[in-house]
Amino acid sequence: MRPGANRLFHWCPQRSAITLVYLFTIRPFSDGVSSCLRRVPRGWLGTAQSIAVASEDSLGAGLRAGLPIGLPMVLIGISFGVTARSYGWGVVAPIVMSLLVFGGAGQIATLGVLGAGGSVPAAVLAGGLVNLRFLIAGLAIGTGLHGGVLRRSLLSQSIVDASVVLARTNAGYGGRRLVGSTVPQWLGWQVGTVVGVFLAGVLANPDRYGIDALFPAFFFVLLLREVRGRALLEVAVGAAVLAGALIPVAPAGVPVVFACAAIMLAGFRQ
Amino acid sequence: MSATWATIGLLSVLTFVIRAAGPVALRRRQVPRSLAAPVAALPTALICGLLVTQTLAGANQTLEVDEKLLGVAAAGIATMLGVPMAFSLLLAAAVTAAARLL
Repeated sequence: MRPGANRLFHWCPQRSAITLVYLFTIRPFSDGVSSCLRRVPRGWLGTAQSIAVASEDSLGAGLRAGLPIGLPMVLIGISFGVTARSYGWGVVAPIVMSLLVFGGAGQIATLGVLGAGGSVPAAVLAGGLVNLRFLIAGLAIGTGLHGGVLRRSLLSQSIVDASVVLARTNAGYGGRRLVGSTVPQWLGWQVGTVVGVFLAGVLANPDRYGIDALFPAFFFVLLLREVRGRALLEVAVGAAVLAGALIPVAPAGVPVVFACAAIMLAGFRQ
Repeated sequence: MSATWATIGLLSVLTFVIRAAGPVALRRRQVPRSLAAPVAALPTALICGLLVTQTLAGANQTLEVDEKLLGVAAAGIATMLGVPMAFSLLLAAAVTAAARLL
């Protein structure tokens, strides 16, 4: 084990094959990447707005953190509405689905299975697998949610992809910040769905406008702010490689969950 | 049509449970010491996994490298140059759309 100021993990090679792979393939690669990054002038990475740094647990702070993604959410909601109509859905069903499920990737996965003639259980399973990442997010965010079971259940409904980053406070996670950061995204998603179902005839192909690049780009921007130091860079590279390797072999949703579980397992220190 | 509504109903219940499961199980406990490092790494791992799967996953479990990659890269460069997030995202869409036109 090499000593290092940023060492978050203490690797124990005997523990698992995943750790071995990590040490012998991913670590050298991330060494190369981090030596390149060291050459980037200081201050370039994660400049300007540092959402993750200002970390007050209030609705207002959360709103400010989540606001930039409001408009992209509208666009993606439009994409969902259009896609649902293209699968033959009426106007009401997509809107209700967005209200009740509020999980874009899961909704689209379910659309796909039903559209391809799959059964209801298969469609629900597909959507559930894709949304399983919310369980992982909940494990981290849960420590910041207080109150009884009902209150925590309801608060946790504001968990979206970005919440693991946007809802962070100095003391872990904050429920008010969580809700605040999700409000613009929730609004954007609902508005977008409504617009999408009604404009379906006009906007035949949202991909033509590059709307499918919005969320991947959003995650990349979040990631650039997240990765500080060698250890997290290794985590990012490891997650990327594991998730990417699993795309061809596992149904949608599983690669992300597996990558996270594997990373956490590899870093588990007794 | 009832298949649609049954699916919506079941998926919404399932998603509700998925979201609530972590917080309800944790009950405001402090994260145990041994889990502190993995949980600290969790946001990075999750966001990165989502980045890769959403950029590179095509339909039906295929790896698909397309113009989205260009858009994502453009957003990254813009962010490193200090462009606000909303504009970086719109730039990503614009670059992707432009690449598809070519």
